Order: sequence, then C-alpha cells, then structure tokens
Amino acid sequence: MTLLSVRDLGVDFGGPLIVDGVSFSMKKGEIVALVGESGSGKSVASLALMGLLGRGNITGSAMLRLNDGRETDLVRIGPRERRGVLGRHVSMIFQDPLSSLDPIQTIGAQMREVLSLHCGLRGGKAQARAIELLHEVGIVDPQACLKLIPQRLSGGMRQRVLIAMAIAGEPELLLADEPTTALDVTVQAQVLRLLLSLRARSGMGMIFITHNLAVASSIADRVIVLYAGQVVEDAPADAFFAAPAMPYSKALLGAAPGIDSVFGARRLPTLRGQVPAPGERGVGCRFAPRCDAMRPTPCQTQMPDLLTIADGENEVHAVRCGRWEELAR
Amino acid sequence: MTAPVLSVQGVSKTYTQRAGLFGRASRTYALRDVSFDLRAGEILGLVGESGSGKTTVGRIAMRLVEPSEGEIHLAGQDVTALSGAALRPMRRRIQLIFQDPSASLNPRQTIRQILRTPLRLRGITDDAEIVRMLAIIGMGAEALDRTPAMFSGGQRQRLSIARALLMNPDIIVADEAVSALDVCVQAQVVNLLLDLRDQFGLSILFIGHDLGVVGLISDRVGVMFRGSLVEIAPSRELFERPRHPYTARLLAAAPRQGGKLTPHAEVDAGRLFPTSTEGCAFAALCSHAITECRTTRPVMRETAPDHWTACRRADLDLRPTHC
Repeated sequence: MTLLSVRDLGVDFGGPLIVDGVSFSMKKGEIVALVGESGSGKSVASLALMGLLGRGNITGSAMLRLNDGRETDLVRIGPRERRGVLGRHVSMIFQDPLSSLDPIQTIGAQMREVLSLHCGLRGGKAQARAIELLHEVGIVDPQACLKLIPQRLSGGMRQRVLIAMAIAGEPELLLADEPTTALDVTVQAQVLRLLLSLRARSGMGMIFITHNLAVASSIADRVIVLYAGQVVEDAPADAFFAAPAMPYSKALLGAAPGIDSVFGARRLPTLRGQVPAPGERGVGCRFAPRCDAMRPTPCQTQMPDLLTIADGENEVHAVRCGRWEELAR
Repeated sequence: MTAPVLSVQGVSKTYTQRAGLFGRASRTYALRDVSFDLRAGEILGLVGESGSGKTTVGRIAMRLVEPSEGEIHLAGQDVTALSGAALRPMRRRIQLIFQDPSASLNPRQTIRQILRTPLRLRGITDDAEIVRMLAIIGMGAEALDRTPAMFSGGQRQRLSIARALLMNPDIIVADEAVSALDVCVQAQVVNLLLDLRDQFGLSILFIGHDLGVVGLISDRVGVMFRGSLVEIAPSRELFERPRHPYTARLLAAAPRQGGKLTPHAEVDAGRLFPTSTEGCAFAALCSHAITECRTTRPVMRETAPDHWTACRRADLDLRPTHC
C-alpha cells in the first residue's frame, strides 16, 4: 500500500528550480534512501515536504496516506492542519542532535513537552510514556536519562533521545536527514539497527537522506539518487548496488572506497568538474558535461526522461539516461 | 634503514580535573603511552572514534600541544624541549591541513595574499612559485585575485594544501582533511595527496574516521582507542587480519556498499562504560577479555612482521566473518 506519493515536486527561491520535478512514491513501512552530493536538492526537497523551508515557492503534490485512511497533501496543507500532522503523522530527525535539543532543559522536560503536544499526555502518564519511549530506543537507564541535560549525553545517546521524541506520536513517516553522519561508526551501526528495529515493530516508513552510499546500503529498501535537483535513478537497493544504470550512480559508487577491496596508497576513479549551479544547467542531460559515456546526441540536446527500465512486482527501477540501454549491454 | 622523519616515543597527555573547588584532583589521560614512527615518504593513517586522541597526536607531533610525558623526534633530533626561536625552523618542516578549509582560509584575503604568507616566511617575494604551486593543485593564475568564498569546498581544500606545501615541509599532518567533502571531491583530494607524496617525497600523517578512505590512502594504519594506540600495521594486513578486538569491532561496524544491517540489538548499545585506568582500555567492551586484561595494561608487541598489537589475546583469529 502506498504511504507517500510525491508528484512533480518543485522548489525555487525566485530563481531557477532547486528541486526540479521530483517524483517518487513509497510503500508503507518502506525505507527509502535519498542520496546525492551537496547541492543535489535532497535536503531542500525534504524540508519542503515538512513545510520547514520558511520561504520559496513549492509546486507539485505529496499525498500522504494516514493509517486511518485519510489522505493529506503535504505541499498544499495549511499551517494549522500541518501542526496536526507534524510530530503525529510525520516526524523528522536531523544530523546534529545537540542543536535540535534545548541545552538548558532536561531531557525529561523536553520529552514531556513533546508528549503533551502530540499525544495529549500530562503528569504521570507523560512520565511513564517517556520512560517507555527511552527504553524502546535502547537507553538502559531511562529514569536517570530524563533528569539529565543534553550536554551530559554522548552524541549517540542524544540521537536516541531525538528518535524517541520523533516516534512519540507513532508517525507513519519519519524523515531522517543525515541522522548518523555526525556519529562514530560503531554508534552509527547501533543507531541504524535501532531504526530498522523500530520499522519492524511499528511499520513506520522512512525517508533516509544521506550522502553515504554504504550507509544507504545498510538500511534502505530502495535508493533514489538526486543530481542537480532531479531524480536520476530510482531502484530497489539490491538492484542498485548490483547494477546501477545511471553513469552518475556508477561514478558515486566508484568514488567511495570500501573497506574490503582497496588498501595502501591507491588512487580512486574521479569525476571531472562539479555539479552545475542551478543557473548554469544546459538543455540536455545535467550530468552530460561530466559523463564519460556522453554523446553529443542525445545527451547534450535533449533532457532524458526518468524511464522505467524494469517493472517487476514491487520492483520498479527507473533511470534518467538517454543511453542506458546501450550502456547496459 | 634511515631515521624516521617523525618519531613519537612514549607520549602521554594528561589533564587534571578537580571535583569542586576543594575536591580531590584526578588525572584524565587524553593520550597514554603512544609510540609510533612516521617513515620517510610514508602515508600513515590514524583512525579512531571521537575522543580517541587522534587529533591530539597530530597536535602534539606539531608541538601545538605539549606532551605530559614522552619525546618527539624530527628526523632524529629531539624537539620535545625546543621553544621560541629554536622551534621555528622545525615548525616549517611540519604543516597541518584542517578539516574545514572555509574556516582555515581568511575570507577577506585574496588567494595571492593567502599564499604569499608562507613564502614571506621563507624570504621569497615573487609570485612565480605561487603560480607553479597552483598548477600543481590544478588551478590557473586567474585564481590569485579571488577570495576563498569564490571557490567550492574541494577547491578551497586544494588551496589550503597549496598553502601548506609552500612552506616546503617534509611532513603534512592532514586532520580529517577530506571528511567534509562530497565523495567525488574527496576522491580528487585523496588522489592529489597521493600525487604530492610521490612528487615531493612527503610523509603524511593522515588522521580520519572513515576507514575506507584511511585504508585506501595509507601505507600503514594505526588504530586508537581512548587515548591508546592499540594496533598499527600495513593497511591491507590490518584490514584483512586485525589482531586487536577493537580493530575487528571497528571494521565490523563500518557500513559497506551492497551490505545490509539486521535489526538485532547489540548488548552494550545505549550504555556508557567507565574508562579503566588500570588494565586495557578496551577490556570492559571486549568479549575476549580475561582477568589480566582488567588489571594490567597490555604492551605493544610485534604479532606479525611490521604488525604491532597491544593485546594480550592477539593470538585470537579475529578475521572478519562477513563477506
């Protein structure tokens, strides 16, 4: 069953489109990794969905199906209605847990506020639920944790607290923007495992924004690659890591060294140039100037569509490349 | 064998903390008995989690932080006690590249002004060397009159590398120098550092937390845990045959392309362990720990050719089980 259907999402700040015609859909309980370099539009797209951009023109639609069967368009929704949706049906966690927490309030006070706002719980009920939530995110001594201020917790523990707050309202969708980027690798693995077990327990869907393909691989069911504001590949994770179809995806995978294969003063394959600025995009494929597989036609003359190249059961694989068929051979 | 360009010998760094105004003073080890050599022309990687002391090692090597114990030797010369004017020529030989190039380049200066500073310190006044250096990092002379804000993150990191190289150093300490860059840009800067090493015979202390990047660029890798160097070995050897349980644990936790995590919980997640000052720092977290591990600190010993491990149980087979 579809949880979220984003159609033709566009964001601009009075100039060229920063997010340009982004469409994708995700199923209930699915974990979708939104992958891209800085400037790809991944954070702007997710903030637009949350209504947290503050400015800018947002076009398109993003239909979210709630557990009670109602549908709501995250793009068109008014501020009042959004307050009823955020926290309860859609929540978000960010990269830096310290800047998302109030430094001078205890974890307990901050959790009680969330529980009062989103769940209408107060007093002893709020306290009991806060303990239950901290327990659920793997904090060993929840009572002690509630009495601490954020500075007393490690980065991993803070992220756990934020995850506890984010899932307090039992949301259908969690947006996680680089939630493990600031964490050490062992802690990162713990937090990723926690997110996976929460998904397994609650059936919550997740949009996981990351620039790290290895992290995306660890957690995602589906990978969506953004480049210069557009979706350039959308594939099941297994298919993506086995056989990426878009030359940009291949380059991204090749540029990140794994720990199983290459050691000792080895050079990496690189991409020339950089992501075109929003005002400097040509008419053709936006990746063409950097692509080794580029041919003057069609690559420089025509913007390729996002084409579905495999459409099995639950297994849509789409790619934006005019030459994908030739390249796959 | 020639003397190592940099030799860190038995270095500790302690900070004293007092519990309240009249409370008992207690010592905290930021570094504890760390020893290693940086060989000529070598790239030595240092990995470890936050708080492991890897940055402190880099700073002590540069004498930006004073060690509490131990010695630093540069090309065979003991520089631990040097200060003031005697320290200056030594400082020239070892240069630091930081993580965030936008914070380490003065935004109000042009590239010409920024790159002239190191040359002035060397008594050179013409710009020919600057232009030559820009060419080496893949930029043209048109960059000279621009300010750092007009460059991308990767270009700025190249410029800070150029600035370091203009001092004509023997050693570069690169502290998380590629961590803030996108993967494609990161790959370019990694390749540049490798080229520069070959071209100038530089030795590089490459500090990072991304095991993939550190393993790729480095000839040897040292692993730090809570202030101690627990293992040091040639890259491939370390990654394929880790002999310290902490190294094995780090490698197992690193995400892999094409790999998937299972949601099962870890036993020690969500809990803080006390640091032991008596035994092995890792003993509380180690599933192989025996009684002696908790009571006496393990010493570094050579467990395989050029492979040094500070673990009493380094005979265990800790080869990664996944593929």
